[in-house]
Amino acid sequence: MSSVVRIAYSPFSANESLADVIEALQASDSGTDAGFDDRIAAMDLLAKQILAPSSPIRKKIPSEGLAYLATFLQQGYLQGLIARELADVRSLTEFVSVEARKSIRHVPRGLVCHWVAGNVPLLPLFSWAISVVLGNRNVIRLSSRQNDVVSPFLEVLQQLSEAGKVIANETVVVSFDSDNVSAHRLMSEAADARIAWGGQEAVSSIRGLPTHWECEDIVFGPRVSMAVVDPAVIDAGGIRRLATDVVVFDQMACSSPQSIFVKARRNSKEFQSFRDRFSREFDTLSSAYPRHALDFSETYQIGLDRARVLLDGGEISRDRSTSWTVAVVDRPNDTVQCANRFVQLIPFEALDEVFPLIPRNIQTVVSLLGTDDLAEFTEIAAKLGVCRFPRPGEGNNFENPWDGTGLVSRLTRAVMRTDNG
Amino acid sequence: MSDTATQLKKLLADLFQCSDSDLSDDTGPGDINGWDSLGHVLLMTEIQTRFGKHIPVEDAIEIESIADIVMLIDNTEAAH
Repeated sequence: MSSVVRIAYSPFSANESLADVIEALQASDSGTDAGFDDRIAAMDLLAKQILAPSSPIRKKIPSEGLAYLATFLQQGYLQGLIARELADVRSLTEFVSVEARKSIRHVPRGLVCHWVAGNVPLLPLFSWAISVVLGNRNVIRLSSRQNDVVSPFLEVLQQLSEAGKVIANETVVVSFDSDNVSAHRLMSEAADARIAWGGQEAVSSIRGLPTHWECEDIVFGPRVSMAVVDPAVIDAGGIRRLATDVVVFDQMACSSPQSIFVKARRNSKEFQSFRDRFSREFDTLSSAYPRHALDFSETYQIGLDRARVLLDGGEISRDRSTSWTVAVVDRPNDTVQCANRFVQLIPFEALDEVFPLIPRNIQTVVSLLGTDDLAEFTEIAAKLGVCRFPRPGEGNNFENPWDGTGLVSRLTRAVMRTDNG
Repeated sequence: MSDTATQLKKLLADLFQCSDSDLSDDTGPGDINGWDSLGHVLLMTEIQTRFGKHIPVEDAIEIESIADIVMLIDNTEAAH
């Protein structure tokens, strides 16, 4: 471990210390050079760059996740995500009337510091994009072990438009070791908002860092996801999209389903047919989407988990090696890791059987049920902690709110004004 | 073949550099080179540009074939 801080991207002169860079960023213009519309347009240009087959970004960044990011950055989509939280998006640029003599204005929170997890490399760009279109300045901290996938986007962005240049100039990317406490403290003490992505240990240690009392904390912690489907409702395309939700990101995203509840009796024709069709799609997609190279412990874990399921009375469908596993169990086996394309199918007959099996740290339940079942399931499961119920194929689409948290209200300050009568 | 289907196949042929004769109403994402996840997002943006129709992400995800896109374009109001 070392105390070295690498400044991976900065608009300021090279060789400055982290303290100097943060100070310069705080002292820089507060984002008035580019308004909300200009910033949204800059993100749209960045999306177009990602999509262009000749784009330099596509040569530098692995394609996994780029389609999600390109969709997210498009003007209409991003604007829609922000509008979900605001009665009138014009409040991001001017005071807008909310009552007879009351107006509201949303201004940037200030300096937003992002601590990034390594599970999905492009993840920081989603929270960063929302933060910058709202006018905040940003410090993104990567672990020294992570590849820097953020700077290539900033290098392209700053050439696309004036607003793109402003946004890039308001962003600093740094990397340092997890035990570099002084660097973590420096960021934390300067932050007006802290965004922490990661596991229990990581997010707890970030929350434990000193900061000023007004600092806003947004924590995207260790959540898990599942799916609930009715074989009478889901068609072949839906099964393929559900398998895609599991396969992309190798189940490393919080939104990747680890178990699938299937509305059918275990020995019924419907359940067997679903299991066979899902396994076939899982097999096809596992070949189509290259997986990261597993180390010995990951391969061993898959073998161990397969044995655990079988010893527990479950059944297994799998490929000849360790590319994918579909386990059939009566209830989720908590000792099984469900990683690297290992999914548990759990048959059920009534929704009441599912509710007690929803874990407390649940994030996403990919859902495809009949209309009445969907209404009943989502109403009750939402109160049990579920944050979103996308349909198959949408599971890994980052959206706002995320993890039950609206980012716009947390990354802006709402300012009230009484108007003249 | 409807006018929309003809125009859409021409767009696909331009975008993914294939011949329109390679495309049938059943052709879908993954069936031709370039029509992968990124290609699909690009296709949706081009549809907005050329047809003036915005296909919501939730619908775009569920597209299985050219016939699905034609139906969406024909049933979608022009984007403003």
